[in-house]
Amino acid sequence: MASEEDVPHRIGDLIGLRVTDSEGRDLGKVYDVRLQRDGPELPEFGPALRVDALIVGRDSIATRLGFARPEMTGPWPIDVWGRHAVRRAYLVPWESARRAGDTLHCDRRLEDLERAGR
Amino acid sequence: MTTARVSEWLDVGDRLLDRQVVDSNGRPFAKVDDLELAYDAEGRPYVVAILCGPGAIGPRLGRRLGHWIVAVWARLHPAVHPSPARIPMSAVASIDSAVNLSVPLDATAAAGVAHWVAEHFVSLIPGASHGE
Repeated sequence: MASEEDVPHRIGDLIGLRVTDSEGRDLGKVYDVRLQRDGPELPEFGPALRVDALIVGRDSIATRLGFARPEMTGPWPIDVWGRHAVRRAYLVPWESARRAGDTLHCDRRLEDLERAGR
Repeated sequence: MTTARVSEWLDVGDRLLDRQVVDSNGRPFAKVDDLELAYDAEGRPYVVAILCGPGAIGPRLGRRLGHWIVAVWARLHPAVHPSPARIPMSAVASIDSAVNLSVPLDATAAAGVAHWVAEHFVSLIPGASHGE
């Protein structure tokens, strides 16, 4: 993150930021954040939930309704819809992102980014 | 040392934001409106607290509605510079379909918000005292 005022202090500061890849191509917006439980040790809690990656893509109705969740199963049209939404979402590793105002610049190419679905 | 029951990874929007917060007596009293971040020695952010109430949901919503929610909340709040109710992660016992705390409501900063809302808004609703 570039300057002190660009440093997010809440998860909500990250949601909705526009993201571009190393070639300036638009990847969409941050619509979720993946946390990994390997942060500093917190009293009574254990390893903290660390920001591992930003989930970026076109914020579709499917993702808003939760159909893109890996555990979501249902009638086949919903499965297909959800899988399609996940395929269009990318995982942008935290260490690859640099913020400038309302935009995050990822230092990797679109083709080198992992898909969000697990 | 006890350790909270939380999965090894989770997506915030799916598993944390807008989830119910339940105290150690099983009483639901707030929603997860935002999460406060701190930074480790390598500059990587991690979650240190759950934020609840209008002061947390307003900025997340943004736009005119979000600004309006924060403005009304700040105007009505007794503190000059109010901050959202904050529940440290050390009070979290587990995260499943809800966020379950290891402490009762009164031991959290969110208790003040819950009592304030009950006193200033809920008690004014006709019939509110019937449930007591």
